[in-house]
Parts: sequence; C-alpha cells; structure tokens
Amino acid sequence: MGKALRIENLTATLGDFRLSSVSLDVNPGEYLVLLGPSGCGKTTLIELLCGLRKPTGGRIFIGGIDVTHADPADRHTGYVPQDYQLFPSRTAVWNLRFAARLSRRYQGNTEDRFASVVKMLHLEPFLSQPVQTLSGGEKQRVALGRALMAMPDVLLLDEPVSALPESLRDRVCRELKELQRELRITTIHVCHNLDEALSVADRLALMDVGRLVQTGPPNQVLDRPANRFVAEFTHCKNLWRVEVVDGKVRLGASEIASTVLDDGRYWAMVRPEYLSLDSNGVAGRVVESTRTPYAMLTRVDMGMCEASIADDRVRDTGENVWVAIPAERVHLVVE
Amino acid sequence: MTRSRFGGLAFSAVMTLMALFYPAVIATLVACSFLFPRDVSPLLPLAEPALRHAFMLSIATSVGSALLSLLLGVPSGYLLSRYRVPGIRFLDLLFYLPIALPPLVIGVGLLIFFQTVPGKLIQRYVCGFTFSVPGIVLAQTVVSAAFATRICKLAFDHVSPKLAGVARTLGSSRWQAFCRIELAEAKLGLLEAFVLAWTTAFGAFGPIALFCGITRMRTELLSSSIFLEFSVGNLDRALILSIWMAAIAGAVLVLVRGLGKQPLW
Repeated sequence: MGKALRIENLTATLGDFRLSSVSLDVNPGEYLVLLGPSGCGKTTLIELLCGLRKPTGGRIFIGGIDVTHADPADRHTGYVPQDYQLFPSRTAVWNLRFAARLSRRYQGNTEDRFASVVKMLHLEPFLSQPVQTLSGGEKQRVALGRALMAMPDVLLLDEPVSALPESLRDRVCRELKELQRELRITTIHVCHNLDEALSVADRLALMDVGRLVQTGPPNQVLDRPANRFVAEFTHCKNLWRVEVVDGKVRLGASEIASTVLDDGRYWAMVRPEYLSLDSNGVAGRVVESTRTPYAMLTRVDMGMCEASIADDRVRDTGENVWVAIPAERVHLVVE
Repeated sequence: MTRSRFGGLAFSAVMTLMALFYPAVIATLVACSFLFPRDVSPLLPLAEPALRHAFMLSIATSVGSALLSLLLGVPSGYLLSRYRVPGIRFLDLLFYLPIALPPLVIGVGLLIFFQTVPGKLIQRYVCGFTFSVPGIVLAQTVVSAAFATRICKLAFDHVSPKLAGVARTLGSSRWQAFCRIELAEAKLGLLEAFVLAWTTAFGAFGPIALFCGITRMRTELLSSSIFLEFSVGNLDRALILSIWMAAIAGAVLVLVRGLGKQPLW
C-alpha cells in the first residue's frame, strides 16, 4: 500500500527562519503527532502541506500525487488551525456547510454526510448559534466538523486542544483518537505537549529549529532518543556524562553497561521509570522526594551526577541508597 | 475623600468635559441653523427648477462617485492591508496624499492634467471632463476615493487573512475565498467606506468649482448653490440649502447605522 503522505527534502524560508530538508512518510490511517517546542516550524510545515505556504525546495505527495505546487483546494487536506478560524459573522451550521456549497471538489450526499458529522461531534445543541457565542470546546468541534465535511484525505490539526482549558484537553484528545479510529483518516496532529502527544500518537515526529530530528513509535522515541534535545524534550531527567572505554560504559568509577560504540565521551540516558533503589548499584544520597501525577520522583545525588527515579514511596532527605541501573535500558546519545 | 479617589474623579470629569466640547459645538451650530429666523420656504430646493436640478445632480453624482470610490478603494485597501512588499509604505503615502492636500489643489491638478496632451486626447476620444457632469464625478471621486481606501484598509485589517486560507483548503478558489469570506466579513467596514466617500463627495465644493465651474442647470451642485446664494447676500436661502444638506447627511448616517444593526443610543 502506498503512503498517504510523503514529504521529500522539503525546505522553506520565512524571514530569518528556515525549514531544513524535512523528509517524512505517513501511512494511510496513521495518527502522527508532530511534536516540538514553540517556533520550531511545526505550523510552517502544516501550512506547507495544506498549500498556504510555498516551499523553496522539495516535494509533497498526497495519495501518491505530487501536490507541491497544487492549489490548496486541490490537495484534499482538512485543515484545523490553532485558533480555529471559524467564519466569525456566521453560524455554526453555515461554517459546517461551507465546503458542501462549493462545487469544486465536493461529491456525495451532502445531507447524509452533514448528519453523520453533526452526530459524531455532538454539534446539535448549538448548530444555529453564531460562532462568536460558542465556547472554546464548541468552536473546536465546529472547526473539526467543517474540515471533515470537505472529505479530506489527510487531516491536519494545528494545536487542536491548546486553546482549551486543561480540564478538557484529555477528554478532547480521547475523542479525537476515537474519531480518527472510526474514520480511519490519516491525521497529523501538531502539539508541543508530550502528554498530549502520547495520548493520541501512533507515531511521533520531533522537530527542532526547522529540522525533523526523530520519528518513530512513542516507545522508541522515549527509550531511544536520537540526541540530547529529544531526550530533554521527552522529559528524560537522567542525562549523564559517561565515558566509553573498551566497550564499557563508565559512570564515574561504576561500569553501568556495554556498548559497541567507539571509545569517547557520550551522554547516557535512562528513563526514571527503569531505575530502582535496590540493595546494590551506584551509591548515592536522597536529595528530595516529590509527588508527580503518576508517581513519586526521588532525586539521588550519586556524586558525579544526579539520578531521578520513579519511586513507590517517600524517601527521607539524606537517606543513603543504591541506584540500580539496568544495562539494557542505558541508551547512549551523541551531543 | 482620599487623594487617589479625588484624582480619579477629577480625571473622569476633565476627560468628559473635553470630549463633550466638540459635539457641543456641532450641536450648537446645527441648532443655530435650524432656529435662525428665515423668510423662505423650507421646500426651496424642490420648488425652483435650477435648485431642483442642483439637488438631483448632487445626489446622482455623489452616489456615482461613492460607488466608483468603493470600486477603487476595495482593491487598494486590500493591497495595503494584505501585502508586505518593498515600496508598500510609499504606496500608502500616495493614497494618503489626497486627504492631506487642500481640495482646491486637486481641482487645479485636474485642470492642468487635461491641458496636457494625454488629457486632451482623453477629452477628444473618451469623454469630455472639464466643465461637465463627468468632470464632477471625476473630481468627487479623486477627493473621496482616498477616504474610501483608508476605511477599506481598516476593514480588511480586521479580517484575519487566515480565513481566506482556510476557505481555500475547504475547496474555494482564490476569488471565491475573497468574495464569500473576506468581502462578506468586511461588509460593515465597506459600507462605512461607501458612506464616508458619499458624504465627502456630496459636500465637495472647491475642486468641482475650479474644474467644472458653476453653471446653472449644468454643473451647479447644492454646495455650489449655497456659495452662490451667500455671495449675493441671500443668507436665508443659503441657510435652507445648508439645512437640506445636513438633513440628508444625517438621514444617511442613521440609515447606515440601521443597516449595520448598530444602536443609535
């Protein structure tokens, strides 16, 4: 089966900002999350995909067709901008039916599709209301419904939950994922929040300063980050300066793993959830125990560096402990 | 009363008095005009053939030039609002020039242009403008299009450019996105642009008098009639014509507010 979306060496310049040679494949029906800090080029990439910006180089294929220089109306993408951009002087139903009014590409039974979208997104209570009177969550659903009414091949969601209150984001993300599974529509979801990304993604694509840094399933990206930026962005708190000598990874005086990499200095990364406090390991002293939404996080000073461990109880500050570091979980990254 | 509370009250009082001063002056002028004793029929503009002609010509030419001003103002305002290209600031300045220039200078400029070779060719092969009705429309348009452009630019500034982009991703062509979305969202602003262009054209006098002259039953407008009546000492007649012009302008403003669904109070 061909790719739903393929990007080959895409480049673009926006003032001083430059998108550098981005290449990416998205499978049909896949939910890909484009993740990265603000200003890294995620929105620029989305706008290039839907045709609102012109690239300076590279190519874009949607459904196997080269759409690099195609008009936005001919790309069959459904775009939901970050601030929704509903047509402000109109009602919700006018916005929803907008695509159906245009004869350029819409085919099929309009009324069936309209009824299906309204039911799927629970839009009935406010269909006839002016969009200016809708809440953030309602606007988000209308914007999504408007994009779906155009029968897109690829759905592009730019920070779809950023404008919503935090209490709503989890629920909306779950609904987005269920909707995407039901419709089996290829989706690219842009965000800067790791939790949000992990709640919906089949695959992650991390961006930094206009470059695509790493793509892969969430587990792969979290456990095997490509570099220090990915490790830090995915909240890996344990980044240690280590030395490789004759295939052994040394953290200070302790040998913590083996590797096939050349001798030299590297950054070793282990996620807090893989570390434990045991009867043997690297000696250290507890600095503090803090509560996170998912676990206790214990910080231990091991002398040459600190370790953060996902713990199961509160520890006393100053308590002497041993940090057990599973060798198979140690991942080395280059600076 | 604490010092900060007194300061706050004093601030509100001063700002309110200063703000109300100008409307008070306008209201006083209008009231004086209506209350000034006169011995002339209030239906003067409709009673005499020459004045009736001036009245109808004023309405017709001002509406025509307001429409032309809007036709010019919409693309100009859109260009100034949307495009950030080298030279746009200079272009913006050029659009501002007719507002800054004394209106008489515009009249002189038009007269000079139609004395040149291109001007004479236009008059011979396209249309005669000097001392004619098309000339009135031209002079009014040159004066009022700058105002229309300014308001159109502001109207488009308030319409997010992303709306047209989203419309295009939903299947719109560029023209459809502009007409169905950007024009529609800016319509109240464009209506204001039309009204401002119309009031400017309706009240214009200097450039029209210079460029088209004041020929009774030909190029005389209401504004010119007021000047003529005043210049021969008929203050009563000038006043009635002024009241008619003020009443028409006021009625149009109220109508436009109603069309824009804006409250009067």
